[in-house]
Amino acid sequence: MNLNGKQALINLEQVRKVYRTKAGPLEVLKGVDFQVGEGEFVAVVGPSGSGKSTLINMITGIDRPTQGEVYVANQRLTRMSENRVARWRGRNVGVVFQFFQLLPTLTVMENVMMPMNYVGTFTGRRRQRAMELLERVDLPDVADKYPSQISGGQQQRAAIARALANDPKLIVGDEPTGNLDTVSAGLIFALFEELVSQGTSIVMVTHDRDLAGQVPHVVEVRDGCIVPEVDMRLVSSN
Amino acid sequence: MIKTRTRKIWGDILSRKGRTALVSFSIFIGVLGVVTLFSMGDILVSRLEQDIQEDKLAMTKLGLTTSERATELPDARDFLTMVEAQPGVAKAEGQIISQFYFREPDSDDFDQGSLIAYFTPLTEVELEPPQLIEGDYPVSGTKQLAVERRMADTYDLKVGDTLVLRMVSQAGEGLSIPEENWTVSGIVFQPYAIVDNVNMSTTIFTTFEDAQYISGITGFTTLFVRYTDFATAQAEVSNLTGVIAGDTPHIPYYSLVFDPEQNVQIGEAANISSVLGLLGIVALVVSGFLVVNVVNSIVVEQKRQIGVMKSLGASGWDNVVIYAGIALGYGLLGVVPGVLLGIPAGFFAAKGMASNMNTVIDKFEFSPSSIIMGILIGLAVPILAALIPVYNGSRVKILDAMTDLGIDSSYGKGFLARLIKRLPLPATVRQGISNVSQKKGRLAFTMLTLAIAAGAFMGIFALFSSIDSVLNKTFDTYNVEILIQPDQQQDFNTVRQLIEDNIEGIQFVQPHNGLSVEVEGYDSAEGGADYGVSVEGYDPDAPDSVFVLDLQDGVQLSESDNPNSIIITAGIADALKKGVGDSVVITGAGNSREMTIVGISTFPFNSLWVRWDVLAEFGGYTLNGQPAARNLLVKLDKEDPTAAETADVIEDINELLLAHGITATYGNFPELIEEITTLVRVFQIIFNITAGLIALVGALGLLTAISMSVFERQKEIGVMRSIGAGSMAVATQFLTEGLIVGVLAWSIGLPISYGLSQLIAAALEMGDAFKLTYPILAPIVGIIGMLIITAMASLYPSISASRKTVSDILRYQ
Repeated sequence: MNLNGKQALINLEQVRKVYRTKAGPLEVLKGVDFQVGEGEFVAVVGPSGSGKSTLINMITGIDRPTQGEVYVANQRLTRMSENRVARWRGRNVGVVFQFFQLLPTLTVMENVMMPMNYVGTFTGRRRQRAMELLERVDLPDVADKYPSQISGGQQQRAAIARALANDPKLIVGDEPTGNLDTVSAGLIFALFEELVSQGTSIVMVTHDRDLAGQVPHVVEVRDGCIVPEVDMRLVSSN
Repeated sequence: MIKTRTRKIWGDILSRKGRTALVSFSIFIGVLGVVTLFSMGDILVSRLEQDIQEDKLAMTKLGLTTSERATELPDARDFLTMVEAQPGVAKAEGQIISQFYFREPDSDDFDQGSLIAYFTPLTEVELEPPQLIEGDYPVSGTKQLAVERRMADTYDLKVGDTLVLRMVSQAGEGLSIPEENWTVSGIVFQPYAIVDNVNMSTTIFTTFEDAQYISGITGFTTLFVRYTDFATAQAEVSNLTGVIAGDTPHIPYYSLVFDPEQNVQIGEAANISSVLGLLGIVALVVSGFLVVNVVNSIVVEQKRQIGVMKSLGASGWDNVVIYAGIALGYGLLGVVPGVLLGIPAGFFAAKGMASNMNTVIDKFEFSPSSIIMGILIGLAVPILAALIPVYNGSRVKILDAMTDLGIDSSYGKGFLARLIKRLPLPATVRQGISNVSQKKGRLAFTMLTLAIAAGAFMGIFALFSSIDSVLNKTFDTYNVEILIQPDQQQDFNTVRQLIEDNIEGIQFVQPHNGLSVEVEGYDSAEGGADYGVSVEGYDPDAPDSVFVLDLQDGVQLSESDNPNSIIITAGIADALKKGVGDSVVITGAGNSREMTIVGISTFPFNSLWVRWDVLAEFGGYTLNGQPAARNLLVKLDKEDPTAAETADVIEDINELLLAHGITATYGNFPELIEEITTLVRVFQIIFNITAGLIALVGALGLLTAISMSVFERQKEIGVMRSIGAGSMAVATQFLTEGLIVGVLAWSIGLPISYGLSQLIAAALEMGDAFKLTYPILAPIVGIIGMLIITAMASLYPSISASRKTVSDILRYQ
C-alpha cells in the first residue's frame, strides 16, 4: 500500500477488539482502519478509555484483534504465534514505555544489549553497538550504572537506546514523556524527531496536547473509532 | 465483624485450593511424622519399661562351656550356691540354651530353634524371667513345653498342641535319632533379650531336667548373675570368671556386664525414636517455612486489597487477625488429618519395630503426649511462621498499595549489587543472581529448607557410606561362611575329616577358639554395657587364612615365631598408646598372660587375634591334655554363597554330625550379613524418606517463591516480551533463578551435612568402631539431586511465566 507517496509500514484493516467481561462484551475498537507510512511521525491522542492503548497494542502485536487484519512491516501479525510475534517485535519494533521499564538488576548497557541477546542480532559486537546507541542518546557515561542510579530522563533515553537496539523501522511509545519534566520531555521529543529524519517511523500515544501539536500527524481515537486527522497546532493554539 | 473476618479467612484459604493443599499437606506430613515417630517411641519405650523390671535384670551374663573335666560336673545347685557365695553376688541363675529341632505333626521337615531352660522352676525365677500368658508352665517328665508367644504366632500354636522333637541327646554313630511328641502346656513371653542369637519366633521353654534330656547338655551354658550394684559387678566379674575357670570344669568364654539403670533395649528404643522424632520436628519446622512463603505471597497478591481495606478503616490489627487466621486455617487442615492418621500409624510403626526391640505390641495403644505434642507444634509452627509476613502485611501503606509506578528500580545501591555486577557471568545468570539477592528475606527460608534437606541427604549419605565401609571391612575380614560350635568338646581333626569326606562343596575346615577377655588398661565399656574384648584364635599358617587382616603396622601372626604374639586393633592400640613390639596383658577364663604385639589391624571393632592353640591353652580348651579347637570354621567352594545356600550346607553338616552323636550350634555368616545389611538399609530408607520430605517441603517453598516472583514481575516479563524475548528466554530466566537458589542451598548444606552426620552418629551411639568419613560422592550426589529438585520445582512457575502474553499482563495491570 502506498500512503501519501510513502510505502505503508502499518496497515490496520477494519480492526475490531471486543473484550469479554463479566458485565458483558466490551467493544474497545470498532472497525478501525489505520495506516502509517515509512518515516512518518504520528501522535495518537484521545481521552482515557477511548482505545488508543489498544490501538498501539495491535500495532506492536501485543494484543490481537477480534476481527480484522493487522499488517506491520509486511507481516500479517494476526496469523503469527505469540512467540514468533515476540521475536518479530524484537527485530522490527522498538517499544518505549511511560515508566521506562528498564530491568532494574541489569546495568544500562546490559539493558540496551538485551533485545540483541533475545533475537540473536549483532553477535560479537553487541557491547560496541550498545555503546554507540548510548552515545547517540548522550548517555555513554552511565553505561555501567544501574537504572536506579540515573535520573528519569536518562532512564527514558536509555529505554530509547534499548528500543533502537535492533535498528527497528518502527518505534512505538506509550506516553513516553508522560513521566518526565518538560526539559527531559523536550530532549526525548528532539531525539524522536532526529530518528524520524533518519527514516524511522514513530507512533506515540500522548495526553500532552502541546507535544502532540509538534507532531506532523495526529490521530484522535474516540469511543473506539478514529476521528478525522486534526491539526493539533490549531487545537493547541485555540 | 467476626463472621466477616472468618468468611474472608476461609474464602482466601479455599479460593486457592492448590496452594492450600500444598501448605496443609506439608504441615500434615510434619504432624504425621511427629505423632507417628514419637508415638512409636513412646509406645515401645513404655512397653519395654513395663515388661523389663530393673530389679530383675542380670548384671553379668557368662557364656559357659565345659573343659575335659566335664565328665564330673558339679551339682548344678552346688554350682549356683558357690557363685552366690562370691563377693557382691546377690543372685545367680543358670540356664541351658541350646539348639533343638522340631516339626509340627503334619509336617515332614524339622525346623531349628532355641531351647531355654532355667535351673530354678519357671514359677520362681528371679532373674530375667519369662511371663506366663496362657496355660501352665511345663512340668518335668511329662513331655511338656511352653512356647514363646512369637513362636506361637508364627506357627499358630495353641495350648494342648503337639510338637515333634528330635531327641538329639540320643544321637550316636549308627543310631537313628528318636522323635517324641511333646505337648504345649503354655504360652510364655520373654521380654528380656537373653542373648543376641536367640530368635524368639522359634523358642521354647522346658524344665531344666527336660532340657538336659532333649539336648544332652548336662551343665549350664549361660549364667546370669546380679550383684548388689553395677560398680560391684564391674569390679568382681573377672574374679567370678577366675573362680569358675579355676574351681569348676566350666570355662566362661564370654562375660557381659550390664548396667540395669541403662538398659540397652530401652536405650536403643529411646535413641531411635528420639532421632526419628527430631527429624519429624525438623520436617514440621521446615513446613513452617512454606507457610512463611505462602502467607507472604498472599500478602503480596492482596496488597491492593489491604490498601482498600485500610482506606475503608481497617486497622493493622484487623489485617494481623485475618492473615494469622489464614495460617491457623492451614495448620488446622494439616493437624487434624495428621493427628488422626498419626495415632494408628504410630501404633503400627511400634508394632513393626517391636520385633527388633525384642518386644510385642498386640493391643491397640496410643501416646497422649505425642498427640498433644503434634497438635501444639502443628498449630504453633504455622502461626509463628506467619508472624513476619503478617507483620509486613499490617504495615502496608495505602499509597504503596494503590500506586503503580512500573518496575521497582531501587536495585544497585548495595555492596552485593556492585559485587554481582563484577561477576564474569552471562547476563542471564547475573540477572538471576541479582533477582535472588533482591528477595533474600523471602528466599532465605526456602534456601534454608533446601539447605537442611541437602544437608540431611548428604549427611545421611556420608553416614551410611561410613557404615557400609565399616560393615564391608568387617565382612571382608571373615573368609568363612559357617561357624560350628559343638556342644561338647570334639577332636578337631576327626570332625574336619568327617565333614571334608562327606559334604560336597567344602573348600576348607579350620580350627577356631573364641574368648572374651579384659585387656589391662583398656576400658571396653560402652554405654550401659561391657562386652569385654573378643579374642579370636585361628591358624595363621593355613594356606587360606580364615581371617584376612588388614594391618596398618607390623606383621601377620604367621610371620612371627613367638607363640605369644598378638594382633590388636588400632582402636585398642590408640587407647593403650602402644604399638608393635610392646606387650599387653590379657585376662580371661581365670588366666592372665602377657602377649607381644606384632601387628596393628584396621578392623573396625576392637578385637584381638592370637594362634588358636595358644588361646586354647590360655582358655582351658583341651582334649586329652592337648590344646583343642572349640569351634570349626568352614569355607565353601562357591564364591559368595547366599544365606540359603549356606543354610543347606549347614543342614547337611548337622545331619552328618548328629548321625555321629555330635550336637552343635551353627553360625551362618551370609545370613548374618544379610540381616545386618537389611537392618541398615531399613534405617537408611527411613532417614532418606525424612530427608526427602524436607526436600519436598523445600521444593514446594521454591515453587511458591518463584510463583510469587512471576506474579510480582509480570511487568518485567511484559517488558522482556516487548523487546523480543521468546518463551524460552523468559522460562530460562526463572529457571536460572531456581537453580541459583539450589546451588546456594547446596553450598550451605555442605557444612550442615557434615555436622548432621556427626550428630546422628553420636545420637545413635555408633560406638568406637564407627569412624565417620565424608566421601567425595556425597556432595556430588547432593548437587545433582539438588539441581534436579530445584529444576523440577522451578519448572512450573517458569513455564507459567513463559506462557504469559503481554496483553494478559497489560490487561491485568
